[in-house]
Amino acid sequence: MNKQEYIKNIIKHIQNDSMQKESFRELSDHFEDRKQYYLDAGFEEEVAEEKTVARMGDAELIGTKMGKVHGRRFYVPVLLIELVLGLVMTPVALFMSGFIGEAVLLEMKVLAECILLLFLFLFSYIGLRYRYKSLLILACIPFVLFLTLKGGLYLYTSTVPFVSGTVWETVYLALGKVKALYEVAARSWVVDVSWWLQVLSLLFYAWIIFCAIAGIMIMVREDRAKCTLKQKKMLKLIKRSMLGMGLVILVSAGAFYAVYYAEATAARDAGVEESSVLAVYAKGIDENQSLNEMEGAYIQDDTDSFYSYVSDTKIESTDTIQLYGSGEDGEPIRRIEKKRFDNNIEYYIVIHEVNVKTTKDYMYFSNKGLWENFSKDKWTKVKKGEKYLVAFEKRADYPKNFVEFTIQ
Amino acid sequence: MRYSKELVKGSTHLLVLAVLETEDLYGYKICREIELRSQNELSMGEGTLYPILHALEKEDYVESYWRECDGRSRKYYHITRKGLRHLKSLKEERNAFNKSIDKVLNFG
Repeated sequence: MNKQEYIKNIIKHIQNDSMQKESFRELSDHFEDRKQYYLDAGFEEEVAEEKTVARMGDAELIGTKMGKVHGRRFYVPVLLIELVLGLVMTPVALFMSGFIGEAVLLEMKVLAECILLLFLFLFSYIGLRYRYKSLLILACIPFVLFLTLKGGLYLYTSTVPFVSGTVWETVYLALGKVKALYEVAARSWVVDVSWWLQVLSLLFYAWIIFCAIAGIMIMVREDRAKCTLKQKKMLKLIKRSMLGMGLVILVSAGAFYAVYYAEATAARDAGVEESSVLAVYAKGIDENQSLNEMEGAYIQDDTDSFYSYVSDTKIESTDTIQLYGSGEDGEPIRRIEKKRFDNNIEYYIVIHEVNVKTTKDYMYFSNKGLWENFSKDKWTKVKKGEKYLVAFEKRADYPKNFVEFTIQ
Repeated sequence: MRYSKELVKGSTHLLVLAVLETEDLYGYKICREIELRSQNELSMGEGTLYPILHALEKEDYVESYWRECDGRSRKYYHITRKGLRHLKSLKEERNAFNKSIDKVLNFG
C-alpha cells in the first residue's frame, strides 16, 4: 500500500470536507517525516514506505476513530451566533421598537418568527458548512441581481411576514436608532437609562454583524485548515463576549420592560384627560390613493398654531412621503416626519398636543418614535398643567395602542 | 522494557498533553518526543495519535495552527489553559491510581 492509498483509506471516514483535506495534509506530512527517518537509517524507498505504513497503524481503525471525532457536529461558534441572533436579538429588536406588550398575539408572532429564523439559519448553516456551498452561492447571484434590478429586496419581501417583521424591521430599526440617538445627544447631554440601553443595543447590532461576517469568512476559508492561532483565539473571544453581551441585553431589556409595563398599567389605572388632540392622518392602503383622501387638521392653542400637509401628490404603496409643519405666525416650514407606507398596512401618524392635567405630582406617558424632546419608547416625567407636544405612531393592525392611554 | 499497547492506550491523553506542556509541537514531533522522553520504552501506533489530537482539540484542551518549519507548513498543537487544568487532574488521577495498584500488589 502506498502513501496515497493509505491516507485515503483513513480520511474516507471523515465526512467533513474541510477536515478531510486538512487531515490528508497532516497525515501526509507525518508519513513523509517517518519515511525520511527510515531513509536516513539506510532503508530503500519501498521498504521505508512499507515500514512507515506499519508504524502508523491500521488505516481502517484510525479512519473509524477520525470519523467519530469529526462526525457531523455543529460548528459551535457559528451556531451560537445564529442562536444569539435569533433568540436574543429578535425580541430585543422588537422590544426596542415598542411592539412587545401591545398585544399577546404579537408576542406569539415574535415567537413564531424566532422559530422560523432558527430554522432558516439552521438550514443555511448546514448548506454552507458542509455541502452545496458553491451551488447555494451560485443560485444566490442571479436571485440577488434580479431583485436589485427590479427594485431591491425590500419591494418583494416587505410583505412576507417573517422577512418584514424580523429582517427589515431590524435593519431599519438600527439605522433609525443611530439617527435618533444623534438627535437626542445633539440637543442635550442629559440622557437617561433608556438612551444608554439603546446605545447598548446598537453596539450589540454592530457586534452581531461583525461576528456574522467573521463566521462566514472563516467558513469560506475552510476555517480550521487555514486558521491561525490568533484567529482562533479571536473567535473564542467573540463567542464568549457575545454570550456575555447577550445576557446583559436580555436582563436589561427584561428589567426595562417590567418597569415599562408596570408604569403603563399605573397610568391606565389612574385615568386620563386629553384637552386637545390631532393633526395628520395618512393612509397607505391603495397604490393610487390621492392626497385628497388624506385628512389634515391643525392644532390650535393660545400662542401658535400648526398645520401639516403632505408634499407628495400621490402615494404609491411603498413611497416615502414627507409631512411638513408650519406655524401661522411666520415660523419657517420644517419637516416633521418622513414615513414609509407599505402595502396592506394602514399607518396613522398623529400629532398630539396634550394638556396634561395630573392629580399627582407627576405622571409618565409613553410616546412612540423619537419626536422632538421625546425618545422612542421613553416615559417622560411631566408636571401639572404643563403642555407637551407628543407624537404617537399608531398602526391599525395593533388594536391596543397607546394613543388612547390616559393621563390625569 | 516495552509496555503493552493496552497499557499505553489508557495514558495517551496524559502523554500527549504532558509533551505539549513544554512547547508547541506537530504530530510527528509529539511521537518522537514521547519516544525520547521514555527512552524508546513507550511508543504508539503513530496514526492513532491523530484521532487523539483531534479529539483533544474538539474538547478545547489543545488548539492547532499552521506554521512554517524547515520550509514546510506544519500543523502545530498548543495546549490551552483548559488543557493544562485537565493535564493536572489527569496527573493526580494517575498518581492516585498507581498508589491504589501498589496497595493491591503489596497487600499484606
